[in-house]
Amino acid sequence: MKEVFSIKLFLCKLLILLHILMSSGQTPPGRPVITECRSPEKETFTCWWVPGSSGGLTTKYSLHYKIDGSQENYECPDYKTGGQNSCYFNKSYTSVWNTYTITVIATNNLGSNISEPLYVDVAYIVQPHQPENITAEFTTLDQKPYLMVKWDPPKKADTKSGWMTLQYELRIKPEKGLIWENHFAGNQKQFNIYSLIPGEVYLVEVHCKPDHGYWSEWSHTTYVQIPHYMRVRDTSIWMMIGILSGFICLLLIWTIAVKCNRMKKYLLPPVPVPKIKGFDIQQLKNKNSEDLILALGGHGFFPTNSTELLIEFLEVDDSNEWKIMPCMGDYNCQEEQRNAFKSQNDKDSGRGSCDSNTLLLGKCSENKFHHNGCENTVKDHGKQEINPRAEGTQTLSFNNTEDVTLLDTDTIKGKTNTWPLVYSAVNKAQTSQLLSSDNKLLETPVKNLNSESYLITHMVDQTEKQKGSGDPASSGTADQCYWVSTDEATHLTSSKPMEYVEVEKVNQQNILIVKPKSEHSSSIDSSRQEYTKVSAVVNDNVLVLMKDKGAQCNHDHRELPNLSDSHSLQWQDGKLVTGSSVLAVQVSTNLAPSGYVDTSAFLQPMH
Amino acid sequence: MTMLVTSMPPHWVISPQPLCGAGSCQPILVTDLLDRAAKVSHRLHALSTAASNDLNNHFAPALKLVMMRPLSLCHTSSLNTPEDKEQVLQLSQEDLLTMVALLLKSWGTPLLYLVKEAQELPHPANDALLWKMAELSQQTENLARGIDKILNKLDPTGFHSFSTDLISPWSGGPGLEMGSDKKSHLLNFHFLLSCFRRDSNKIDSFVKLLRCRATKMNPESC
Repeated sequence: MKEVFSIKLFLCKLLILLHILMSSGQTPPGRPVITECRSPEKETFTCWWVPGSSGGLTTKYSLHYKIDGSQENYECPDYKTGGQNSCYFNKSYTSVWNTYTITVIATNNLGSNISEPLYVDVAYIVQPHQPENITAEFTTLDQKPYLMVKWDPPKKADTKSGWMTLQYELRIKPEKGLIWENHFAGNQKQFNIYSLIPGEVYLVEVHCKPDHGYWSEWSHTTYVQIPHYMRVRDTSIWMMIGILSGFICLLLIWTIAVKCNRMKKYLLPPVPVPKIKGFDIQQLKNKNSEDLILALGGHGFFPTNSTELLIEFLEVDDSNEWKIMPCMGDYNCQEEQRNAFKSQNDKDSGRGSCDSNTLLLGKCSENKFHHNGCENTVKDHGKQEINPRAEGTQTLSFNNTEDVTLLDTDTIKGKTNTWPLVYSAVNKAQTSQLLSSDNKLLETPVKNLNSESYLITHMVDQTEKQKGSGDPASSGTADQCYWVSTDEATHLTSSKPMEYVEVEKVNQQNILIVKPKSEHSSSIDSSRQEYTKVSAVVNDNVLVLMKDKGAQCNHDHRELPNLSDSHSLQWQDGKLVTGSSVLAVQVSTNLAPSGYVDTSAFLQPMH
Repeated sequence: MTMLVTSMPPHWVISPQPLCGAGSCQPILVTDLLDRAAKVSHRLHALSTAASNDLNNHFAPALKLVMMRPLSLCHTSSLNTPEDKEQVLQLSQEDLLTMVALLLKSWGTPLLYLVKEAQELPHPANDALLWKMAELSQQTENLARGIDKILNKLDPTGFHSFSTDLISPWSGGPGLEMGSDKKSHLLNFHFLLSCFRRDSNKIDSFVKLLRCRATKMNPESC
């Protein structure tokens, strides 16, 4: 009975104890967990753990370890150095290439608990401290600016002996940047960073790790201000851009300069402007034609300073379908004539001819030049007898029986061009004057050497063919002189028909013998004289010709009026105005502004 | 350290100058050879670590069993290699080189066994393990020859020559206590690989220490 009672009493006490324990919440400690063991220099190491529940009682934690190959169990030598819940193994307790089997035991009054064992080889748990003394310096080497970052290995790590070999990595980012830029530096303790943004503040950090181990924490941040500098890349790029743009600009300017004229010419072809020397357009506009005539050749005498007078050719068409109308200075008129005139040889009658025709015709009418020849020349095409001529030779024909004063005919495709008289005294234009006192038909065109102008002089004897050839002036016969001149500026293209005749000789009978002259012949046959200017008109109605010698002609021609006082080129034809008045031609070789003499004066009967 | 170096016989001091043997100069510096050796040893340890990780990633349940077998049972434990910094630094270059050479030669046969085992290993990563084992075997052989050359350069007289008896014998295959089933093969593979990993770490550490000593003229080198 006693034994049974004692057992019951024990059970009751046990239950009471359990009840007390349960009611107070006190339990044995929870299982602690060893988090990690790390060695900063492969000489010592520290292990940390996380305690489990304390069980409501004061719990004591102890770390125990066994070294590989030893059955002996040791307790942690140092709980303080590594901080709370840690164990520090100093050098004497640390061996490398041995496996530590580490456990943590939590113990309180109610019991104890043991953690999972952790197997540690110090060689594999090395995690060094951060690198130290990090410096970032901005320097320039060979004109290449860069940031040189230097650091020292952690003090504790023995790298000098070779016991530890560390690798380094640094990272850098702008102060306002978000992404770090990492650079692996290997075993070096410095690193150069290129191509940083000028003026930016950079953050630099470095960490390290052993050859076989863990990366350290990142070091303290080092700030570095990148100064403003011109990056080489930028410099070269800007230089390239500058050179290129300059080259392009030059090319553009050159192209524009070259193309400008072409474009201008292409878009705005130059308008042919009438270039009649000595012909003042303003004067024509302001004054009537008579004034102009007066101004040019006032009172039958050409002013000395007005040395040029141009009378363009008249166009005579023997076809009935087209009538030559007097061109009254109208541009369109002239154009009509030109268009209707389909001769290829006469590509341009010239505007100057328009004016000149107007001038001529106007003067013809105003001065009562009702000579049949004048009229008929223009109008009576059918009656006009065209003297056929060989190509290359300009022939002047005259048929007085038909009351036609044919000046000069150029038969082209059934059209006859009648060339009016023009006397030109352009110094460059070699002037030829032909004086015929005989009843001969003479023609002396002279071509200017430089082709600027040429003058065709025709001497037409109207009526005195049958009369004596001795002295036309005394016999009352009059020679009619026609000069035909075309200036190249008027675009009169004489082409082939406009060959020239040079004076071969003057025979005793005052017959001027002319022969066709070509450029070749003239150039080859230099022995022959070429008379270009009127030197004088002597009493015998002989026109003295002389070679053009430039300015000398000026004086010669100026003497002309005096010399020709007593005789004249007279319109002797009965149908024309007959007169004994002096037709004097004063020619000035003054070049500018006029080079022509209005030969219409010759058409004007002198009374 | 410095005392160790200076107290050594003159012919042990690794000179950066080209070494000249009997009648012929060697153009290759010892420092360069050690540098090459350090690269190979580094590779050996990295490969063995990678292979151990491959195994452990698929072998966690058996890890405890493996770890219960202490690495002190490795066949190279008999070499009595140093176990801390002080011991290592007390070793001479010759001793260190000899230690390295012994370790490497002790692993010749076991690594061939590991290559063979890797082909039939019941492990999902056996392909990766196979080529790693093959490379480990090859590189270990190369490094062993290189260390021999360095030893010959340092002491052409053959003073360093060690008896082949010092080479740790390997019993071969899983021990009798491990059984011969697949699991035992796997555990034995892991055990051997773990042993080699530790030894490769020793080798790498010793070679790098030697390299650092050889380039003592340049303090920035290590």
